[in-house]
Amino acid sequence: MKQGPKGLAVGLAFLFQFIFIATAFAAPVSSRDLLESGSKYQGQLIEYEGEVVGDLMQRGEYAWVPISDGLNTIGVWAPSSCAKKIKYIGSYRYRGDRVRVSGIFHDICRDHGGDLDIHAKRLDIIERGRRIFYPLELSRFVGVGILGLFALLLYLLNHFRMRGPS
Amino acid sequence: MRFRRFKLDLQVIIYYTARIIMGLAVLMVIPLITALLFQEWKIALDFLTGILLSLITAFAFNLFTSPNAYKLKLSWVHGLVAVTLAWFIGVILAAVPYYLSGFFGSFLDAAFDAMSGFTTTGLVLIQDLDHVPYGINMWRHLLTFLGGQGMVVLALTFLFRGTSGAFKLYAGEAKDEQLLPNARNTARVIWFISIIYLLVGTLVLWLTGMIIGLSPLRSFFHGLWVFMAAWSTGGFAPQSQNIMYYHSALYEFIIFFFITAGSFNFALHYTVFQGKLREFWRNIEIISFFITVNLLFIIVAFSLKQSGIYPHFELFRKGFFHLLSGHTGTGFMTIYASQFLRWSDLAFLGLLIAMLFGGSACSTAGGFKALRIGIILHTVIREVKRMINPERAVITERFHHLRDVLLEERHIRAALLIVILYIATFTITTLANAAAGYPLMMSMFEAASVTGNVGLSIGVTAPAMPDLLKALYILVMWVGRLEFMAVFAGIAFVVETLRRK
Repeated sequence: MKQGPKGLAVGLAFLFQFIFIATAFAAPVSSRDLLESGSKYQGQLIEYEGEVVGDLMQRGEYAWVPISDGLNTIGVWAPSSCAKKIKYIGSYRYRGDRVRVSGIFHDICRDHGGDLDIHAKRLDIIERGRRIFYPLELSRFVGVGILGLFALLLYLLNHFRMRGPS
Repeated sequence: MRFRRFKLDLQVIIYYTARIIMGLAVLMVIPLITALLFQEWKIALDFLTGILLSLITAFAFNLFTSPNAYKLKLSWVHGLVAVTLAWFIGVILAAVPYYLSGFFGSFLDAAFDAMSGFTTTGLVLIQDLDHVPYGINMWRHLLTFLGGQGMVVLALTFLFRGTSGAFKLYAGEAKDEQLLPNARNTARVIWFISIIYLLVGTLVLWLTGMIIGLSPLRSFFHGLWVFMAAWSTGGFAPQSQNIMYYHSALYEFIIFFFITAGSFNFALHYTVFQGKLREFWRNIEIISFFITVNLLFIIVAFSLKQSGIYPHFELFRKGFFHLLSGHTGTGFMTIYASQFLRWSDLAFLGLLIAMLFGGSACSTAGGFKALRIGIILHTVIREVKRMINPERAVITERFHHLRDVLLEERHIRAALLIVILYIATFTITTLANAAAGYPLMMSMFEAASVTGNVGLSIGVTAPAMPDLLKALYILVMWVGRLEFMAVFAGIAFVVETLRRK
């Protein structure tokens, strides 16, 4: 009986801690927060969300996955099995897959020469990427044509001036 | 008579400026081809627009010169003003494809990045870098590579018929070593050295890129661009994470080598190419650079160790990389800008001094330059000797730079003048940053980076920074790269022109 209130207190403490952690990390952390308050998140399990950009760099059974949340790009060290889920990588021609990563944040990672990174435990695709099309406007062609004619005119003017009696 | 003389002055300046701009138009063909290869049609149109505008400018300039303008004698003032004018117009024209691409918030931002490239500074205002097309990335890195060797050096190599007075143009771009009796041949030697390094550097980084997981095609372009930025001590990189993107000690080590080589004097490279290896160990610039890098690293390492930010290996990898990146004027980063704020004041100060010191004279680097620091140190030694010796004793001091040179007053005067101008520019830029509301340490750091054409950033340089500050940075990068004199000559010429009117 004596253990009752103490056990209840411990149980409640765990419950509050769980609720605190769950609410703190349910929403993805922005790259700005991670960069500006890195030491606060050091070694913590966090969720980070963004677009896969650049290149997937395979290193043995892991791969570097650069993920941009629109503010900054952070390197995510993910198992190859996770990286294989990625289909589209962001570039000029593609909008990359939007992913949510759950992993351990390292402000200064000892495994990777002091880089700021996230070691992924889980990677989920939230939204598939797509091809981006850039329409060519007719006005741009007309503009280039006019500039071309103007350049030709000036060239000819110079050419005849050079050949003329001077 | 006076008006006729002035008209002739203008003709010479305009003739040479037009030639240099023509060179820029030819150069834009490379990113145009890159854009076409990767089917970036819109970007290809942007470059075509840039090429046509450059040609129109050059042809329009030619209309104001006489057909025999190339025969006119080029004076020092002509050379300096032509270079200043060519850089100014060149930056505006180079910014055209940037702006049209849609990756910049304004034309001022585009001009900022163009000037940053030409001056091999490496600070950027480009947005969404991770989605930038191949054509634009090629242009960014080509600009910085060209800027390192010199726009005039390129034009001298390919576009000038005569060679009389060419040295005056060449020297206007802050390259005062004449490797061969003829300036045009000197320019060719500079390009020869750079192309050899370009081939070797790209190959090494290409192979390393594949080892660290990049695809062969991507690895080639990353290797080419990173080499261009490393050799020209520029600091641009194709991805927003800069060099941290690669997460590779091997890649960083190779970059160590190329940024150091890029910061050495072209004359030294040429001497070593000729087999005179002893010069490397005797040269005042190498000795000065070696001493300052080591002393400053002791300061940075001691301070970082005390603050406990990095463990041992990480301390070397981050501390030394950024120190060397700052000292050579490169600006490559393997940490985020905001992470610098956690560095202790002493480490911060060490890095700041390194940025102001810079690399060698007649190299791709900016800053005070190792030669001038060496000369000032020799002057101090000479003065100390004078103090401890009898008044009648004749005290001489010598330094070795390609040959043994007797330290003269003119060397001291020239070195001190440029160093004082750098310090004045650094102070003005710091004050401007502080006036814009940035904390003092941040203001000093960014000011040192801009003044020394370095490119390390603590976060001040961003698209949201005030336009006036952007304009000031453009000016500071320009005067810093041309080492003041060419820009001063340009301003003096304009003032004189207005006075005569």
